[in-house]
Amino acid sequence: MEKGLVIALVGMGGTLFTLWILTIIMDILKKIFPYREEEESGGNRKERS
Amino acid sequence: MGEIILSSISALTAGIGALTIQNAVMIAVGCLLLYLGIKKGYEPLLLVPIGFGAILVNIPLADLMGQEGLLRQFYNFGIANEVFPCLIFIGIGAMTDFTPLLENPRILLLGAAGQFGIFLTFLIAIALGFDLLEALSIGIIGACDGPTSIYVTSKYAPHLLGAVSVAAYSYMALVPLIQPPIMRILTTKREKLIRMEYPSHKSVSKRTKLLFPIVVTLACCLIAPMGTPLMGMLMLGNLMRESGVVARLTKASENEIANIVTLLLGLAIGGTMEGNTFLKPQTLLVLALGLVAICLDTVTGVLFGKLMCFLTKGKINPLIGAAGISAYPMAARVVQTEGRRYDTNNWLLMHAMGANTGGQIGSVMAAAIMLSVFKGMGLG
Repeated sequence: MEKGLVIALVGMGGTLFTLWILTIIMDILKKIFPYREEEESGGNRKERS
Repeated sequence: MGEIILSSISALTAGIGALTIQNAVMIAVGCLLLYLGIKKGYEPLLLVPIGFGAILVNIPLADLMGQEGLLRQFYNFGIANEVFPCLIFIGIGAMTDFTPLLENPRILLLGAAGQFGIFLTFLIAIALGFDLLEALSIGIIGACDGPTSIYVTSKYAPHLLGAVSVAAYSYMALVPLIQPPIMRILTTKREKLIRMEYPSHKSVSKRTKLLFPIVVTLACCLIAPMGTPLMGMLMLGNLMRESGVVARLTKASENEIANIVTLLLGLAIGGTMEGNTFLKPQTLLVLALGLVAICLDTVTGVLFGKLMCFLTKGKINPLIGAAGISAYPMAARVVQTEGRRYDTNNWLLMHAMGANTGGQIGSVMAAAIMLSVFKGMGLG
């Protein structure tokens, strides 16, 4: 049970920590590449195969 | 002449004679799953092949799960080696739009809180006498994520695969029944009425959406490498979707590949529901614990939503915490419906969708972390 408790705590903490890191990464991405109307409308891609 | 007739008749009735009570019960269970899928519309894409697979495998002497049996081939081909869940994840990634999450990244934390039920159920399962590997496979039902549950269970407790899969998919379909009472109990009227702001203009660039799957893959897989097959495939599907340059592959992942794999996966899971191995008190316990896991996910998600509501001075409606599970998009729709019960002009859907896609990432991440921890402890 003790082992299980440690694993559960590591699991919860690890999941929360990793997703917190991801929120920071998302914020950074949004700051580096902000939405610009003209870029978004001009950037249509064609499929390559 | 008479001997030949007798032996022929005996051969033709051998199947009926060999039918055990367990087989009959499981055939009835298979029929029940078909009823739920066809008549009630509960996850029919999975429950129909699972139910039919359960019927087929319980036909005596057909030996469909024997070494040469058809269902055994499907099982070995895609479940024993964990290929099917990963292929399904490409399709899920291709179908998922992470924009609502990217518009409000902090909502991703609800996707973490929505997984705490996994860990709490893991502890309950250990207390009930399951070993660590079985307990993890049971707890992971709380991910509300079929492919992740199948991936983990086939790796650690294949003997529980039938029960875990049926629980995962059945409860996923029952989310609209399971979650609302918990949401109502845990939130006050004032909290239920909170309206969340929508950005006045688009805030997520194409480049951000394109880089998101790559960055998430790198970050998550470096932290928990054992989850790379799941996270990698999920994000590959999303990258294909957002890049827009491989529309054929994206379409195939969403449709043909996902459909074929779903069919074979369902049949193979049904194949694990053979009467003699499935009908045990342990199975009932697994089903009960699966329900506990999803309830606890909802509880922890909503409680975390309340915490975020408090920290943001009432800018977050705690109801969206219930969407922090992987059942996409059912959980988000439940939040929207609940929000509108108290205020018909309260539109929580996009925020709930953000939490719900966060739940998809969270469930894979929770599984990945547990797989990596188990590997590190030499258990996996």
